[in-house]
Amino acid sequence: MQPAKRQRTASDVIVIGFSAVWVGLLIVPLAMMLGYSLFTTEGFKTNTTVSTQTWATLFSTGRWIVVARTFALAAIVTTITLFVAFPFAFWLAKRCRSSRLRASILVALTIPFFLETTSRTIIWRAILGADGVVNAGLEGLGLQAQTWLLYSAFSVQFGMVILFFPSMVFPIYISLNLIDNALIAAAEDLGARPGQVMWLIVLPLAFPGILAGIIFTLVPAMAEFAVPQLLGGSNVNLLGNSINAALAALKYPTAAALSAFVIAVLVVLGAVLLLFARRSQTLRGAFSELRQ
Amino acid sequence: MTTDLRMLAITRRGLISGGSAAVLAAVAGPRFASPAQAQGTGIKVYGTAAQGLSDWAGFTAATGLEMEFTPTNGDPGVVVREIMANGIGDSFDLFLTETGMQKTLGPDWFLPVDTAHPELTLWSRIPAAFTDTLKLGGVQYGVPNVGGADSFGYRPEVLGVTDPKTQLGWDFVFESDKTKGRVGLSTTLVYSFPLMAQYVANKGYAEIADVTNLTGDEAKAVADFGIARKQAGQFRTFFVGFDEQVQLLTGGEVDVLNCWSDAVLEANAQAGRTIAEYAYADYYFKWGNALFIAKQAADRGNLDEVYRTLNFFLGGEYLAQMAQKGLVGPNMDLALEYAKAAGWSPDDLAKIEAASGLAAEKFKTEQFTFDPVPSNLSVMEEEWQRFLNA
Repeated sequence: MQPAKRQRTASDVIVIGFSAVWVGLLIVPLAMMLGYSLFTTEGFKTNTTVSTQTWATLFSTGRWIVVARTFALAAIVTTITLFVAFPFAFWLAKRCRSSRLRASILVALTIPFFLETTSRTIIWRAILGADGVVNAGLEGLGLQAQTWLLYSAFSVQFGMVILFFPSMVFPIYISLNLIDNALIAAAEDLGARPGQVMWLIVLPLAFPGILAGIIFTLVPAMAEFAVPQLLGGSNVNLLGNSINAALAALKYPTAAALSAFVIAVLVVLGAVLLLFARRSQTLRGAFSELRQ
Repeated sequence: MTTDLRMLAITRRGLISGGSAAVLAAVAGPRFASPAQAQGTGIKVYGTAAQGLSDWAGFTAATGLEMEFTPTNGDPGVVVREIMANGIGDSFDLFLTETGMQKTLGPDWFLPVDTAHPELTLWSRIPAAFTDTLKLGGVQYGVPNVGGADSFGYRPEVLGVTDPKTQLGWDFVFESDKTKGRVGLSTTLVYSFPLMAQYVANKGYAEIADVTNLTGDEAKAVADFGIARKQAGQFRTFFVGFDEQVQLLTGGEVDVLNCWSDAVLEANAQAGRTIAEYAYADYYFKWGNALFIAKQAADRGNLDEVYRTLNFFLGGEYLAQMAQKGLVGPNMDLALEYAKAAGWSPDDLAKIEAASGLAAEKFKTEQFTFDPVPSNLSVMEEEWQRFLNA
């Protein structure tokens, strides 16, 4: 007897449709970009003879160092932002008693999203610059002005931490908010120290939010070029600046190769993070069973 | 197989026009059209910010047209990209950019200039020395705008200069311990790289045939010099646009930078006193701007308005205002005539006379002429990136 033919449901149609759109709008352009990276530029013309020369020049001209530097800086910025944002988000979700204060802070955190990056960033020049507020304060205290506050790796990292702080706080806050306070209370009742509560209960359950915060910070940080330009003065030449320079010279294959290289790095990183996310889901499921 | 870059533009336009975006644009398009263009009284110019006017009311009064001026930072690479790849000629009438662009963009993207057009009444006054540089294969593609000879801005008290006409060396930018760590350099490759190359050649560090069009080996030698100076801490920052040039001077972040002359004027105006001077140097970066007509303008039925605009840019009112920034064009006598008739102050009249005299004086010393689209741009860009990445 042959099995009954499965009826195609509305959800199947939606999944197929979405997948087709996803492939058309994301996968196909990525494949085109990868293909374009195998071309070369002669003058202002693209030579479509397939060649690995563009990828070779990526390494011979040191452009790949820009990718490594960008990734390192993005990782540092993400780490710093996480360490600053998590305690703040935990306080906001679990320790802030005033709902009015909590709401005000959440609203305040959304305000930067209404401002353009350049506008948000350029003000820091007046604060960190040689004649800026910080150095004026230092000189007022009889100390020497510090020129490294601006046009340095410090100023770029500082500017990016400020820029991405709300993006890190929100998903962590949401994730922490979903943790049942009874779990924390039960752990404390059973004699768990604060550190144990944090490490064994809170962090695993908040991991999806932490993961989302990392992605919402790391990925845009990799592409950021306004902050390095405004606060780094191109002393810190990052991926976005390098791609922009290639595009200005109409070297589209070079820009495509740079982008493909970064995407490959991010795919590997994403796979690693997914493994951790699965482990966190297992933990969350275990806690749900315990509560039942 | 070499593919003309126009293929890229066609592919992108094809992707966009083939989809629903085209339907949406067709429906929404008229609502988002420029009001001036919709009424047929507007002109759209895409041009270097420094060659735009702060107030276009005089242009409107003289021509009856509304100016829509979109400023750019002057990077020729950006202009070429916008015209070739992004097809801005579909919406812009004129491009105000570097002389020499006709070599790359001429026949395919620019409309030849009809020098006998009835609206172009000032054409016959222009010396051939200005117009010949804008020809390609004997065809006139551009209308001369303004030009100058660039050096660098500096803080006189830091360099110990009491007379602004003292000739200074480019070692203050590239090698002087007096300015180490206090130098700003433009990130625009075709602006800074030739200046560095000229310094390297003059110092005998390398043999260079044409500083504006470096071969692979020449570019490597210049980049190696730049990297050594960068690692020695010579440069504090690398800037992009005009506003940044002014801010670096007014903010006291740098003591020397290879900025535009009007950045120094603007910085002094903002400070309310002289905080910076523009150097008389041992060599200059000679440049000239021009106006080119978008090829697509031929089918828009507004060529009379385009030529009226071109004529305004050749006239006294525009050139008198440019002269306030130290820039000169082909009809500076008209600039003086306009300023006198309009009752300008003696100081402003003196600036017009000084601008012409200064240009002539600078052109007596060594200078090279800027090439916005050198044939070796690709290798130059790679070596410039190696310098910036170091």
